[in-house]
Amino acid sequence: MRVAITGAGGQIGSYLTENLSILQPGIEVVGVCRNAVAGALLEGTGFTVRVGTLTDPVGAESVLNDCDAVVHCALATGLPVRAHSQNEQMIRSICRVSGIKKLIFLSSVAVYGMCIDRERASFEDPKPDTSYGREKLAQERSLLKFNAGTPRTNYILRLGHVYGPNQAMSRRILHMAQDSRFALPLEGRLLSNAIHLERLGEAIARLLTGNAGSGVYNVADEPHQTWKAVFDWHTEATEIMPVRCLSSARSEDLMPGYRNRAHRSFAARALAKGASWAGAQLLSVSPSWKELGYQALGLMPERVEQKVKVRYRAMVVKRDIESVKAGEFVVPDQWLTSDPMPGLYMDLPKTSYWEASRQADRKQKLNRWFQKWSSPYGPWAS
Amino acid sequence: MRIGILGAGSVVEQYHLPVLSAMPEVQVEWVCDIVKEQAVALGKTYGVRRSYSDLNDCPEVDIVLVAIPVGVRRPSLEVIFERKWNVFCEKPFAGTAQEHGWIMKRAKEQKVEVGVGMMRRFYDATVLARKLAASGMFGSLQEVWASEGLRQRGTGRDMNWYQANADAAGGGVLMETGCHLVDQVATICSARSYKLEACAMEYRGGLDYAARLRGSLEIAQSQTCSFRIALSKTEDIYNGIMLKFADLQVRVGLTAAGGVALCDKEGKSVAALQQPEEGFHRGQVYAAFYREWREFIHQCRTRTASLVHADSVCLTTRLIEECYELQPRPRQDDGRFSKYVEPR
Repeated sequence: MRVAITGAGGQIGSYLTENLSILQPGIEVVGVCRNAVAGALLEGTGFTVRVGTLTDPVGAESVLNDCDAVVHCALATGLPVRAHSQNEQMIRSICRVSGIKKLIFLSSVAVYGMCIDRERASFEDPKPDTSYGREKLAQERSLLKFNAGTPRTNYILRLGHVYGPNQAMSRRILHMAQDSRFALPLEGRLLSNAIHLERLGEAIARLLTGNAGSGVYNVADEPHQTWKAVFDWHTEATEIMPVRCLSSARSEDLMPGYRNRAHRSFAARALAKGASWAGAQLLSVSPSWKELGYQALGLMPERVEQKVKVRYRAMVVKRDIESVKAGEFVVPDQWLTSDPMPGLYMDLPKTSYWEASRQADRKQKLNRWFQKWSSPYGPWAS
Repeated sequence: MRIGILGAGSVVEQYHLPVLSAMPEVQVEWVCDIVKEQAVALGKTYGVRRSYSDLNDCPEVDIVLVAIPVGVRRPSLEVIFERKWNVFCEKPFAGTAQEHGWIMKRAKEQKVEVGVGMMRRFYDATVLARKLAASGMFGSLQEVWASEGLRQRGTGRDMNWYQANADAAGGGVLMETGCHLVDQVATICSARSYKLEACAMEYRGGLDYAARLRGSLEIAQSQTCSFRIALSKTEDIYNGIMLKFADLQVRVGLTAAGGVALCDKEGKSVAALQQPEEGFHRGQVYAAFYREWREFIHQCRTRTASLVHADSVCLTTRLIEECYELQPRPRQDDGRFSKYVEPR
């Protein structure tokens, strides 16, 4: 079976290109990149790399016409309108290549929003609140539309946070773990929606060679890991001190803010941001503006002058207190307080993934990667 | 000052034109690009009325910004020098010392000024680090460890990207990114000369994707410090410059938002001399571009050497050239990392 990996130079695409045929012998992998510089990562590794454009049907046909399956990892980024147009063209062009029998699209947990609230976002009606999440959802819908009525088997995989070497999520986790001001909310007991890269590779390999019908699936580690477990895995691998946990009481102070933000409409969020910006301007006025303010106050009754003074002082105090707290405590990212993804999860294949020797090997790989970028001596270690 | 722009690529679109458009002492007269539609589109965005595809058709200006790949500049530079226009070259300035020398010789013959765009020299972190190193307050600088690299995850570019062509780009990561990093190190250390002891490069498809250099710099009279510079597009490596003194380290961020940290001998941070800035923040980048333009305009007006005078980048050009001579593109590329080789 010949499988094309689009976006073969990317975080997940490069891993799949290098490992899919090892995870599942019998699969022949072809990596597809936009230009030779992107493809260079894979040169010398023994894998076929094709350089071509996928945004038009002719280009897609020439690159993919001898492939049985495609794992679509490529994503155009940049300004939203242009990126959306390119992504739409890519999906349309790939779907037009008639020889492709299976198409796997890598979507994202981001379709549910930064801080998943199961009361608001459902499997059937996710509510993305970032441009990335909206784009992924739009691509899901395009794929279903362009493939409707075809005999092709299509899988849409809503990937949880993918971690492992070379993954941005692991880099973020390790940065947080090294920051003494950081603490995991709710004692780290929330389910993480995370999945290790190797586990994802196994799952995709199984889908390619199996007989499962078309569908949309959430993908996360099985058993579903807590954030504490994911962070501990990273800190054990890299010999960093384990992260602190924030108590439930302190966490409860944070959570309503995140959930409320997730519920807000675009207009409400824009208004709140505007008010916050105006407040920040008041606190950093230049001397000439301040002088103008004093002159205006001089025209007011004394009770108004008193009220303004008290109000202004309260704003300055609040700002100073927040800056003290910021020096001691890093507000955790919203996704650390998420609910698990709602809906159907993919059954991951039963493999030797959890064997101690494989765990140890994964930790070693993570540590080798970490050492290279965390220290000035790292690039010289090998 | 009337300015013409040669090359309608992303560095002009994202940085030079926004900054030049905001400088009242400057008037951008035209944009010239081999693909005229690109020049026209860029000109429309920034209110530049005239666009051309042939430099010979361009009207008179005082300064030309040369923002085309280094490997294809020579014919254009010949036209520019003939017309006695001052030249501000985007980095890399030149692929070889010979080319560098030719540019300076022609500029002298035509009595025009030449500058180089190395905006990292003007980053707050670079300026502060240079002051600290020059002050001697931490003792003498013993070692410099500098590295820059991220595993390439996506370029956002199509097949015609000039960086995929070694002849146009002048080289791979060492030329494209290394010229910034080497220059940043040289600026911070106030380096006068260098000695290259060893160099190793990793080639793929005719382009270098990783490089490691080791040597020493002359930083003041009879004072030297050793350096190690590493670059990579194939793996994530440390991004920063570490200045090692006898009892402490100073760590410098590479970007416009990068900070400067004072660390103990083991590298543990003790104090932030300059906080790194987080988030989407390009403000300082534009400040750096503005500063380099201001320097060059002053150089053109006063005919005195400025911080962006092309002579200031000679060391960088020679060091990079020596690395490519030592480790030329292999005929049979097997993708494996070459041995460390001493210079002959």
